Amino acid sequence: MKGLLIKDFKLMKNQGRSYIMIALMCVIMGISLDDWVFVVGYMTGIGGLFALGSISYDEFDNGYSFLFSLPVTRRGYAVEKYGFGILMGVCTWLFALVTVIVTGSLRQTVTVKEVLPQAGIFLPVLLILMAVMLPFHLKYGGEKGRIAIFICFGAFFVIVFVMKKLVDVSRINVSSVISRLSEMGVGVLYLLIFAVSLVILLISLRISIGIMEKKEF
Amino acid sequence: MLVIEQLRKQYGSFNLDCSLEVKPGYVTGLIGQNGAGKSTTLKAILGLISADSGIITVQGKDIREFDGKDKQDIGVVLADSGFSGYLTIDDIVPVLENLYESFDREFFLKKVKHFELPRNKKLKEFSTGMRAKLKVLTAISHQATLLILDEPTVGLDVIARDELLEMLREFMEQDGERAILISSHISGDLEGLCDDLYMIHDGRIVLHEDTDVLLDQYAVLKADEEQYAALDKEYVIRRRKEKYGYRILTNQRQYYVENYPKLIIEKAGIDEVITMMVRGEAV
Repeated sequence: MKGLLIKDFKLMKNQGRSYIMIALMCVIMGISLDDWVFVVGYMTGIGGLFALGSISYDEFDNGYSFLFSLPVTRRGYAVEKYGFGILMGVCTWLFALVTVIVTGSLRQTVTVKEVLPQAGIFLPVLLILMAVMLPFHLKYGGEKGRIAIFICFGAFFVIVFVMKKLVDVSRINVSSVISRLSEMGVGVLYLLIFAVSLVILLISLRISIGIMEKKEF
Repeated sequence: MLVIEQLRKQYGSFNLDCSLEVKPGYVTGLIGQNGAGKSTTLKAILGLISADSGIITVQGKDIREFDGKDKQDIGVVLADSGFSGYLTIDDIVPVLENLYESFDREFFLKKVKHFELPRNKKLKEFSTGMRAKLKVLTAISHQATLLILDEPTVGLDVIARDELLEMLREFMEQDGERAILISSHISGDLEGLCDDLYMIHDGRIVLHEDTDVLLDQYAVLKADEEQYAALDKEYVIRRRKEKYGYRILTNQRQYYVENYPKLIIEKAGIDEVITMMVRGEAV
């Protein structure tokens, strides 16, 4: 797996200009926007997308055939993509966090105490983002994968809409559920969200391994 | 070393049904037209496609049970696939070092220098010859015991082909237990390199023969109708109707030389044997 990770980092390095642009964009947003939540969220999402980019590089020009003739297992490949995505997402999350703290402190718009507790929520969001996107990308490839993801998000909104309607019809008191959750305390709530997102990620990884094991090159 | 027993794979109307063996110390050639089933066979060996039925074993182990460690013993060249074109040689060295326990960095870089391959240039900017050399170099740089080579010389000029084949000969000379399975449609490459040859056509092995026997004993006989009628057909493998009579493929050249002095008898090269096996009819 280490060899695959090195390959992905080397591929990234060769696209250096794009990443410098992203970093600059982050700094500019940190300086110009008051909404630090958007900056951290947006950058974390972009970090997770690096894994999708590396899959596109792998599948380009029949690359998969050669890749899987190396001492690389299909399971190992899927695990590496999740690992790479998390690593890159966490790195960009950290970079965005440092950027908004530095720029916010200089502009006196936000403080470390204000940013740190809330920024943590983007890590489980990153895990869920990858849990949804990676299986689609591995199954359908770069182009079709993107269409599949749009369809998936569309379906997600429909489900949320239907659920809301069901809640309305069944007269479940959502605000009481939320207030009960908030009674748990922020730390426990974070842990709960993180645990749920981790479970979703592991289920997604299992699905991705299945997808890779069935693929023919 | 490598045994394929009744490998079957269906793609639409194409049916692969193939058995073959590569022995230790042997360079075995797989020759056939485009679309005959060479690449499908090699992909099945590498586990890139799943077989409908049949067993493939490498050093006695079923390839379906192969893990990353087992793959360390196999060096691979694929005609239409390789490392990403956005990487450079300097990029792939640490990748190979971390993928192969026995990667010989010194040997690899020495050969890179010998072939004047640029280390900092992206692979997509390499010429066909440079890319082919790098692929073979990658395959032979980690002490593999078996090489699977799919058309490694395709698109190369004579000099580059020669250099590449020389690399493979050196690889074999270093260890008597090593083996190579090489597919090609360039018969010249296989004549000078392979110990035995399998010919594949329409997904089936139509001939397996030692290269020496094929080049020495196989012949084309040219017979008119009268000569053909009088001919002992016991050693006739294929025949083809021609304007003058029949064109005949045999694997007993000497027999016909001794017994039919008036017959035109020519040694059959690999290309001729393939043509006859594919276009001729069995007797």
